[in-house]
Amino acid sequence: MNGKAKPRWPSWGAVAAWALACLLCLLYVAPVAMLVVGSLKPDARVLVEAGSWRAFWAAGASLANYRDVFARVDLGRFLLNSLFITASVVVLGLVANSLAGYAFARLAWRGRQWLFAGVAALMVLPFEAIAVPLFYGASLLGLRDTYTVQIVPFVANGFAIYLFYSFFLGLPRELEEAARIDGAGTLRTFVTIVAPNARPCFATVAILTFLTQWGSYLWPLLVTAGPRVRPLPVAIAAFYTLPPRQWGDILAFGVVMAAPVVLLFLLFQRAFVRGVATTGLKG
Amino acid sequence: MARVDLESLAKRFPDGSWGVRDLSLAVAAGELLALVGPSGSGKSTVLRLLAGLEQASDGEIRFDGTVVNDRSPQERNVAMVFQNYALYPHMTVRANLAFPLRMRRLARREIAIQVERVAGLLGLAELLDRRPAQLSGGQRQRVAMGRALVRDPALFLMDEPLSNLDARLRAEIRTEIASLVRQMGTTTVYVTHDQVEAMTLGQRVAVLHGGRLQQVGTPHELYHRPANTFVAAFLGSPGMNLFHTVLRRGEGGLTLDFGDRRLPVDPLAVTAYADLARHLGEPLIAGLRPEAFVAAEPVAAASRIAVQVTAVEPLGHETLVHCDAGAPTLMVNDVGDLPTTSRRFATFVARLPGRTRFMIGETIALAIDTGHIALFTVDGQAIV
Repeated sequence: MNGKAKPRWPSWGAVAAWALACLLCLLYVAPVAMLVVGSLKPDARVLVEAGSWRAFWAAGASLANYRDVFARVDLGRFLLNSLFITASVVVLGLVANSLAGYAFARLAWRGRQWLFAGVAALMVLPFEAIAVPLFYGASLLGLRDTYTVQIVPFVANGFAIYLFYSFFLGLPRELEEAARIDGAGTLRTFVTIVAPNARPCFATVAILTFLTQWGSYLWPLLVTAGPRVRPLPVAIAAFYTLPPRQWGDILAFGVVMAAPVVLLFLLFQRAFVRGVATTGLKG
Repeated sequence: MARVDLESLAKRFPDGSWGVRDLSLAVAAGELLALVGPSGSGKSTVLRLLAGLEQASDGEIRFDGTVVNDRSPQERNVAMVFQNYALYPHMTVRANLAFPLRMRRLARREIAIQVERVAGLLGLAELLDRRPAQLSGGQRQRVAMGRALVRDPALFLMDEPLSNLDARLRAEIRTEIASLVRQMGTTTVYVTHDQVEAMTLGQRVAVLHGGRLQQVGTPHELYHRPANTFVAAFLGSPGMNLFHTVLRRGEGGLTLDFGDRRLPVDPLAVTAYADLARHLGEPLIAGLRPEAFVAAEPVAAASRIAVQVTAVEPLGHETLVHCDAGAPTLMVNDVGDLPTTSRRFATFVARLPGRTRFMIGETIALAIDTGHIALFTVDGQAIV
């Protein structure tokens, strides 16, 4: 073919699809935009403008609300509490669950099937169902209002074990056999050969664990008594009820709470894509 | 360098199937033994038992007289080249080569020296900083060899190391492996399903089928004196033509039935057997290599047959001519589970000079050289 191509107009179907996509996009972005914009506005205007387009207009933006929150509560402490608890659960969880997944996937031992069935069953058990007995247990052990009680119960995770398990099953067995013949023991094979080739799986589990843990509310509410070891979700709930109720401050608190998650997502998005791309292991 | 003895070795898998049964085999120190068989014959199982990746169900594995059944792969000091190479994808070539030495806690300097030595030996010096994904198939194969050669193993195990390469590269690396192994003098067990590889590489060849050892010997012995019809049909490309026959005494000596023909048996062939007369009148299986057929040569009319050409495979220096055997029940159909189409269609294959042209459907005269005929009982065992 030669000559000029006719200018092509998009079909009505395409236009409709685009319009729908834009609308949906707006629907999802609007609350986030409102949160960020609202956190920058003088307190009095937040509620007044909430019902109009001005909710997304940050005229006269300032960081006053942020200064205010930090002055009214120990927000830095909550942030550090949340970071410490979440990071501990993520790191310890990666170690424990990957080792467990490996044991289920590759090592032969008595009772493996039964235990694995148990782990799989735990995946479907909602945490709320065992929260109360767990709470009694923690109380008996005198662990209330500690970091430990917020970390330890969440390290071992059936879903994470399952993810590792299925990923390890997919790794070529010859890699491990080669390592054993080359003189590596089981743990060494795991650390030097298996784990480096399971990076995408580690990233996935880390992200999933981080997200669940960062937003965890019920358990910390039950076991924390004061601001000392309290994480952000419980703190923001308490902050609502702290008079005077200032919406600008609450929104600023929300931004601080959401920021690490967004940051994590932006950082890991690339790792995610790269991870998926390199899983095509070729011998 | 170690001497390896397998005694009554057996491996039964949890599902009840047998990997290997009652295998007794000795590999001399420094020898290259090729283990050959169709897929599922148990050859890889033998290798994995030797490596310590599988536990024997019964029998003994001895290295230099010491039983190693309960030793882990690390303790056996064997090196192995895997079919898919199993290079560590996250490590550079240098790190891959260094890995077995690092596991043996060698000094950093010593490791560097050994890696350089092996890289030089295999022409990998330029590639040391690359990752496996950046290498061609042949280069990966070389790295896998290097990783096995870098430490001085008691036993070298190779599991179809050339099967992922194209034909040209395979031939090239085959000769390279042969010279490398000879140079190193390391005892080697080489598993392959390719009988050309087995014949060209192995000082001795062991043929496995259904987990059982069929025959072990030099390539020459296996080719010319197969112990049973399986080995006869499996080795050689194409394999031996096997047909039902009866041995009779004629006027000029012994004859063999070939359909309704009586072929005179070359006296030379008779001398190879201790007491052939014992089998007179008995149904037997006779084996003729494709090269036992001679076209257009003035031979005694008695051993000449006229057959129809059913397929022609010109290979340049020679032509494989498939001929209709004339009788549907003449050829032996099932030899083990070897898929041999020529047998299914009651045809045999003749290896004829490449200069002559053959047309499908044409009738040709072939003389049969019975000097190297192989004879088996009807249950497939060679007559001695």
